[in-house]
Amino acid sequence: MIEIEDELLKWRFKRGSREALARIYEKYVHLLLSVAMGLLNDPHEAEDVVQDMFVSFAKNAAGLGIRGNLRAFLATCVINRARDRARSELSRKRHADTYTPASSDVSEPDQSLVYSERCERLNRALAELPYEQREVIVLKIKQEMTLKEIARLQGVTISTVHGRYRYGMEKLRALLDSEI
Amino acid sequence: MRGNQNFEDIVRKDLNVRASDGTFDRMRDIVLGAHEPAQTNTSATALMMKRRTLMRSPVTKLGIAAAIIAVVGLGIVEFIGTGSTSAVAWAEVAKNVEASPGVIWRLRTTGSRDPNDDWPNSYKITWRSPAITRTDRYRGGQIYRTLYYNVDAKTTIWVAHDAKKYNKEAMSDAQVQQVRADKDRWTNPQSAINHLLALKHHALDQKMIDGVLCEGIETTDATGLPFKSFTARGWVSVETGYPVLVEAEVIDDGNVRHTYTLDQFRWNVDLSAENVEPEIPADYEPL
Repeated sequence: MIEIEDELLKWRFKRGSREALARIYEKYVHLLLSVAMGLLNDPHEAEDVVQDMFVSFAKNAAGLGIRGNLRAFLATCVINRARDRARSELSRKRHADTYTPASSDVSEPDQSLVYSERCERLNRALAELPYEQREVIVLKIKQEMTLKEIARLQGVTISTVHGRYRYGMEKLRALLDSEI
Repeated sequence: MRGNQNFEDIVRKDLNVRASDGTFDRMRDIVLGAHEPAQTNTSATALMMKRRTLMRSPVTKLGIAAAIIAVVGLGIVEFIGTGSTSAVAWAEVAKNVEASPGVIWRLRTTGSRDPNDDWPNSYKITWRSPAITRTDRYRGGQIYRTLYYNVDAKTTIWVAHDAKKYNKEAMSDAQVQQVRADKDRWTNPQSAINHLLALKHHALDQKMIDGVLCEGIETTDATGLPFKSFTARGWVSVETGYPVLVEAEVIDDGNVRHTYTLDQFRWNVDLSAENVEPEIPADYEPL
C-alpha cells in the first residue's frame, strides 16, 4: 500500500527537500536495518549496507525513478546490496571465520545496533537457511511483500517463491524449536 | 509445534533491530551531508507543446466517487444545528474542509467494467487545490498514469508511465471553464458539500479507524442520483474534525454493483504547482 505521506516525501525529496530526506531516513532506517540484519546476520554489514544505500539515495535525488512504493523501493535497494555482499567471497569468509555478534544485549549502550537475544537467535537460525529462502522469509514477513512481488524481485515464478517460503519456514521453525 | 500465523508473528516481532542513538545520529549526519538537491524543472508553461493529441479528460467526467464525497459532505453540513449530541463539531468540520487550501486522498473502487481492473491493487491518488488537479493512477503498486491540470497556467500534462509517453499542452479557455465548473460542482470535496443538502442520513456509532477515533454518518437516499441503490458512509476524526474515511456502495441502472473507498486524506496541504507538477523522466517520449 502506498502511503500518502510517502508520496509527499517522494515529491519533496525529488524537489530537493532536505527535510524530506531526513524524514525518510527517520521513518525507515530501523526497518531497513532489521531487513539487512535478517539477510546478513552481521550488524556491521547491515549498518554498512543501509548507510551506503541512504548515501546513494541522498546523492541522486533528481535521477531516482521511484514510480511506486517508497518503502519497497528502499527495501529493494537494501536487498540488492545485501545480496551482493552475501555473495562476495569476503563476506562469506567473514561470516565463517571471524564473525562474532557485536551486540547481544539491549542494555549495552555503546553498540552500533540494538537488538534482543531473541533477535540474535532468530538471525542465527536465518543464517542457516539458503540465501534465497532467507530472502523470501524476510521480505514476506518483515517487508510485507507479496509472493508475486518477491517473484518479480528474484526473477523466478511465484510457485518457486512459495516453495522457498514453505521450506524455509519449516527449517527455521525446526531450528528454533530445537533450541528451546 | 507453533501455528503458521503464530510463528510468522514471532519472526516479525523478533526480527527487530534498531540503530543506537549514537549510530542513528551519525548515520543521519552522513546521509544528510551527502544530499545533493535536485534542480527545479522548467515550468510546464514553458514546455507546453503545440501538438494536439487526444486528451484524456477525467475531470470533465462526472465521477461517481466525487458524488460520494459530496454526499458525505452534505451529511456533514446537515448535522449542523440538528441538536445532535455528537462529539464532532460538525459546523467546524464544514468550515475546515472548505478552508483547506489543498487536499489529497486515495480512491479505490470495485465493480468497474474495465477488464483491466485489478482491485484491490488499483487505486488513484488525487491532489487538489483551487488551481491544480493531479491524479496518479496505480496498478499493482506501480504508477501507470498521471493526469495534471493547472487552470491558472492553463496547462495540462498527461503521462503514460507504462508506455513512457507524455503530452503537455495548453488548455483552451473553454477547457479551463469546464474544469472550473466541474471542480465547483462535483469533484472538489471542499465545495461539493454545498450541493446536496437534500439527502437524508443518520448518525453512526463512534469507531476507531487506523487508530483514530471517528464519528460517522450514513445515507441511503438516492434522490437525484442515477442509482438503483445507494449507501454511503463518512467518518470524521473526533479530534481533528476532518474526514478520515468515506465508503459507499451503489447499484447502477445496469444492476452492476460498485464500491468506493476514499481514505488517506491529507488536509491543509500546500499544493503549489512546483510541488505537484509531474516530472517527465528523460527517457519518456512525447506523444
